[in-house]
This record gives sequence, C-alpha cells and structure tokens, in this order.
Amino acid sequence: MFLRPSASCLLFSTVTVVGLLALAGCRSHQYAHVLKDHQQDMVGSHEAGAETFNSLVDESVSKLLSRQAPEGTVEELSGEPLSKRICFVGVENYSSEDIGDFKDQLFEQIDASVATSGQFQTISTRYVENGLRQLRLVPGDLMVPQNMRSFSSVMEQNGQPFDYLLFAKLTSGTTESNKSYQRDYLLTLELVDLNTGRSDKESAKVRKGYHSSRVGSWMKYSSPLAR
Amino acid sequence: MTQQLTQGLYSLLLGLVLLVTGCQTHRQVVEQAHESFWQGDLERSGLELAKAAERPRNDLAVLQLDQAMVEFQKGNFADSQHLLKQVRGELSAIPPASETARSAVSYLTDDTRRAYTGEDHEKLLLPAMLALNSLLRADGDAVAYAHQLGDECAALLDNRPLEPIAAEPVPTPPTPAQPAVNPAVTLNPAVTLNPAVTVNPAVAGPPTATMIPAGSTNQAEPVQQVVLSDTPPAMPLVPKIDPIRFELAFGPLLRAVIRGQSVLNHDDVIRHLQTANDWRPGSEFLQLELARAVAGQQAPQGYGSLYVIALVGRGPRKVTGTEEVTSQALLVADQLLSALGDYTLPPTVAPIKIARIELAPITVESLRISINHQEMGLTENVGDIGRLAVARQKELMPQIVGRAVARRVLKKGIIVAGKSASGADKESGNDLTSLLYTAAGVAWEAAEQADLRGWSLLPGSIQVYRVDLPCGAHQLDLRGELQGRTVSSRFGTPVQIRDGQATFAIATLPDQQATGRVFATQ
Repeated sequence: MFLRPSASCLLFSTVTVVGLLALAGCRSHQYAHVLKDHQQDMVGSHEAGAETFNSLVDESVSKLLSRQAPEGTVEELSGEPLSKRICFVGVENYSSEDIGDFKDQLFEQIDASVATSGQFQTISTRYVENGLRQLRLVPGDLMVPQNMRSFSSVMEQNGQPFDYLLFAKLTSGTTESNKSYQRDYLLTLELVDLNTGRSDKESAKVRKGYHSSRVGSWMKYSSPLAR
Repeated sequence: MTQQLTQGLYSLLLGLVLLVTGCQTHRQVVEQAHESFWQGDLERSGLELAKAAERPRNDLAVLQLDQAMVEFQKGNFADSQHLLKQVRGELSAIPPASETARSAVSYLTDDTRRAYTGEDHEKLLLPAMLALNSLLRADGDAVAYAHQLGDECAALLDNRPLEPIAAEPVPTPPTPAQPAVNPAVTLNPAVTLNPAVTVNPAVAGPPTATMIPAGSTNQAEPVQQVVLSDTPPAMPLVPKIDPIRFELAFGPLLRAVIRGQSVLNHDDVIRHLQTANDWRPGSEFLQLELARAVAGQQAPQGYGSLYVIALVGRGPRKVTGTEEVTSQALLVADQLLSALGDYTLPPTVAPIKIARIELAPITVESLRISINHQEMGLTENVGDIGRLAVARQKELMPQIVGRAVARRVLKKGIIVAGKSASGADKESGNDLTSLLYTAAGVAWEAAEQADLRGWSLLPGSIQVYRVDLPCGAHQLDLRGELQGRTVSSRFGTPVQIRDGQATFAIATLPDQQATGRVFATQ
C-alpha cells in the first residue's frame, strides 16, 4: 500500500533513532571568533561589506589628504602648523544597496581617519547636527550659498568655526551577465573650501563580482574561456 | 510477541488520551490569559500567562512573547524588552527546522512537536516591538533594532516563492452591523497649531489591480467606490500590488522615523520612505512624509514633531482548519517522503487538519487624535498584521499541507508494517490484532493536533500620525473609532515637544473593552 514490505525493519529502526535524537535535544549553538589584523575580512556574498568599505575609506581618505598638504600657516603663540578645521556633514548613500549599520561606521571611519591625519581638525558631529537642526537644514541644503553662510555663522556662534565642508557619497554601478553580475562601488569625498568656494574631489573604487555558484565565479575570472 | 504488541497498543491509546487532555487544560489557561488581555485585565492576564509558562507545552517562546505584550501595556518596558530579547535568542538558536530531530519526531506525532521558529510576521514584529520599547526607554538601541527590522523584511522577501501570489482581497473580518458610512476624514480646520498632515481612514486593505485607477491623486477613495460598484472601472489599471509588501510598509517607515532623528541621516530617510511608498502605494501619510523629506522640510522654527505610533486592534490568531490537498502539496510531500525512505504517495489524500490563520473581528479601526482638547485627525494604517499573516500563510500553504500529507503516509505505513510484522495482516486472518492495529492507527491520526502556537497578543495593525507642535508641554488624547463612531473611552498623556526634534508617543488599544494606553518619550 504505502510502504514496501522490505522497508518495515528499517522503519522501526528509524523511529527508534528519531526518538533518541529527540530526547537528546536539538539546540544549536553559534560560535564566533575575533579576527587578527592579518586575517582577511569576510566577503559579503550578496552585498558589500567590510571587504569593500574598509578599503574604500582607506584609499579615498589617504588620496584626499595627500592632495591637501598643509599650508605654511602657523599658530601665532606656539609657532606650530595650524591645522584646518573640517566640518564633516555625513555620508550619503546613493548606491543600489541598503548599507544598514555600515553607514554610521563609514561616517566614523572617515571622521577618525581625517582627525588622526594631523592635517585637519574635525568638528564634533553633535555640533554639526545641532547647527543643521537650528537652521532646519539637511546636509544637501548646504550647497546653497545663503544656507552655507547661515550655517557657518551659526557654527561660529557655537564656538565651532570651520574652513572646509566635507561630504562623502557612496554610489554603485551594476553590470549584469546572465546570472552573474558585477557591482562597482565608488566612495567619493568632496572637500569644499568655505573661503574660496573651490571644491576638491577624490574617489576610491572597489569592483565586486557576484555569482550564484563557485563555478560561475571560476568561469568568469579563472577559466581559460575568461576574457 | 502478539500479546506484547497488543499491550503496547493499549498503552499507546491511553497515552494519547492523557496527552490530549493535558494539552486542552493548558490551552484553556492560555486562552483565558488572552481573553483577560483583550478585556483590559492586564494583571490577571500576566498571572495566567506566568502560570502557563511554569509548565509549557513546547510553547514557552510564544508565552514569553505574550508576556512581553502584557508588560509593554503595563509600561514595564525593561521587562518587555528582556522577554523579547530572550525569545529572539531562543529562536535564533534553533537550526533550520528540516535539520532538527524534533522536526523528524513531528512526522510521528504532529506539528506541535516541531521546534517553534516563529511565523514570519512574528519575526518582523519582534524587532519592531524591541525598537518601540527602546524608544520609550531611551536606551539608545532603537537604531540597531531598526536595522534588524530591515534585515527581517529583507529575509522574508528573499525567502518567498519565485512567483508571489497575486493580489487578492483578503477575507474581511466580521464587523458589527453598522450603517454604511464613508470613512473619509475631514480635518478640523479650526486648529491654531501648525498645519497637521492630512490622514486617511485606517480600514482600506491592499488595493487590487481592478481597484486603482491609474493617475488617481487620491487612490484610497476609488478603492471603496469600485468595491461597491457593479460596473468595472473604465480607466487603465496600474500593475498588481504585492499584498505582502503592502502590509510590510511599516518596516521601512519605522526605520525612516527612527533614523530621521538625526538630520545627518536625511538620505536614509528618503530611501526608506521611498521603499514604503513603493510597497504601499496610495497611502496619503507615506506620500506626504516622502514629499516632506525630499523637500528637506522640517518642523518650523519653534516647533517640534510629534509622532504617534499606534498598535490598534487584535492581531491574527490560529484556529484548527482543514485544507484540501492540492497537487502542489502532494509534490512537496513526495519530496519529503523521498528524503525519509522508500515510500510512495497515494493518488488522493483526504483533507488535512492544519492551523489556519484567522483575522480577529475589527472592533477598533483607528484612533482619533486630539491635542490640547482640539481634534486633529485619525491615525493611518501602514501595516495590517492579520492580512500580512494570512497572505504569507497562503504562500506557504503547499509546504504546510505537504508536511501533513507526508506525516499521514508515514503513520499509515508504520501501522501496515506493524500488522505485517506481527502477522496480523489479511493473509494470516488474525482479525482481533488487525482490528487493534487499525484502531491504534485511527487514534494516532485523530490525536494529531494543528499547531496553534503563535504570538497571540499582537496588534491588528500598526498606525501612524504626525503633527508639528509648538515647543513646550501639550496634552495628547486619543480615542478609538469604528466606522466614524467613537468606540472607546478617551485616554492620553502629556507630551513635551522640543525645538526641531521628534517626540514619540506609542499608543495601544487592543479592543473596545480594553483600556487604551499611551506612553511618550521624554
């Protein structure tokens, strides 16, 4: 009927094994470990992750800072080089992915990298946020000259004058090829001189290939057929 | 050998009877706890749930979820959060059901033996409730929970069948007989406060392809007109709306609202609001919020925003139902049986007993907001939990029924094998033993219970309202409405509005009989 006769013994053994397994419990555990500095970041299988964002930040910040060598201005009293004050107004995500909790980390990574360079002094995010809120502005509004002047004036009143505005923008471009696709991530840092209005841009790019199988990845990049 | 088997069968029958009786008593306690909650007796509900949780029947997680709702209603946010986090940990510690031994055991008993991994709508509500608790506790974790909510939305959408089910009207829960009233809302123009957002009635379900005329500026109105009309609309139609995404809009909206507390996240806010609008087209609240965000508009100088997030009505519940076995379900069952051993499927299978998600009767549709005793408007529905659960169950039905069919085949197979092994099959002519085997088989199948475990104290819908108010103290009052009629007593709380900042008020009104509660962030 439903069971072929030869399977009856097997069936009773299965029932016993299953019963024992149930009694033994079935809770799973999750494990974790701390990555050493020399260990590579995990590579996101569906979206960008640490492997992409860490290198984007490192490259773009170092490129930008290398182009912005400190000028000969020195502090009157100490005679030490005077670092320029930067107001970092945030990371805008224009990529096709929702970067979730990485957004705040990107902000902090860029902010910390700029601050530790010694070439620039960054303004606390809390002051920046309060200044924008006081004027009911959002970061994008600062490119309007009147808004920029008002913001600069408010920050000065709050004891936080600045020389540059720093914007970060994440974009992506996707190329599809059957079931595989390549996504290029571009992080652009734009530094706007408040006094001259001149802007300077630097970008870093990471290209990633996404495949539905390891074979797909091999066919695209490692096989003799790959271009 | 035969005598031993016969004794074993008697023991099995007795065991099944005892098991069923025990489960019913437990179920009665739990149902009483739910009833107490809907009637507003939170103390009693909490005590009854605690009693049930002392001796759980493989349902500790759902009892804790219900306890979390009781604690939330009582204003014990730390306790509520603790319970929710505990369940989240328990659920994430369970490996995929197909890999667990308990899942295998369920093939010999019923789905109640399966490790409870949570329904999809429950997995979404977990981070949502954690985020609301966190907002009220001001513990700084709300953004993290908002991210987790986004992850859960993405996981649900990723795990759907390749072809999502077409938009269809979900069965409408019964409402008390009322005269037909157009639920369109007019705002009180006499308010001296800053202009509030206009709001929409909370009752409209997902519009279908035949419901929304393209290019309509207000899509909520034609929905109701077309439903009542006998003639089809002559205007061109917009593409079908996904009923799951439609009810999921509260996810990206909550993310936008929570992330929007910092102006530096402005682009995130636009992105999430755009998603919410794409998923739930026709929502006036979402359209206005998106337009406002895109324009960079904030509360005027000297004003702050008050967001009311309301948990309204009763959520879905599970009831025992029967389901016809479709060819799709037989295919799933065949795949499952192939993995278990050498079995063959019968050509037909009688209807299967399953847990069917049922919408609770609508006793409250929306909340009417008053500020300083001036009426402002109604909350708007941005996610109907019942409809979401029903739509999702419909998608998963072939898997649910397939599993039940596989179980039935397996049980029948064991009985036949037992008969054969004990020499009680047709050839031997041992009628009494054969009869006992048959009786045991019938009892075994009859003892099967539908898996009615579920987060039962969920709200029916998540609704929102926003208004910009002058800085300072205000009195927020709310009352439940059903078809334009007040159905609950007024409840409220003082709110403190700060310049350029958002204040959150989380309101709950589970039922007409329950006491509405509202808690505001400080």
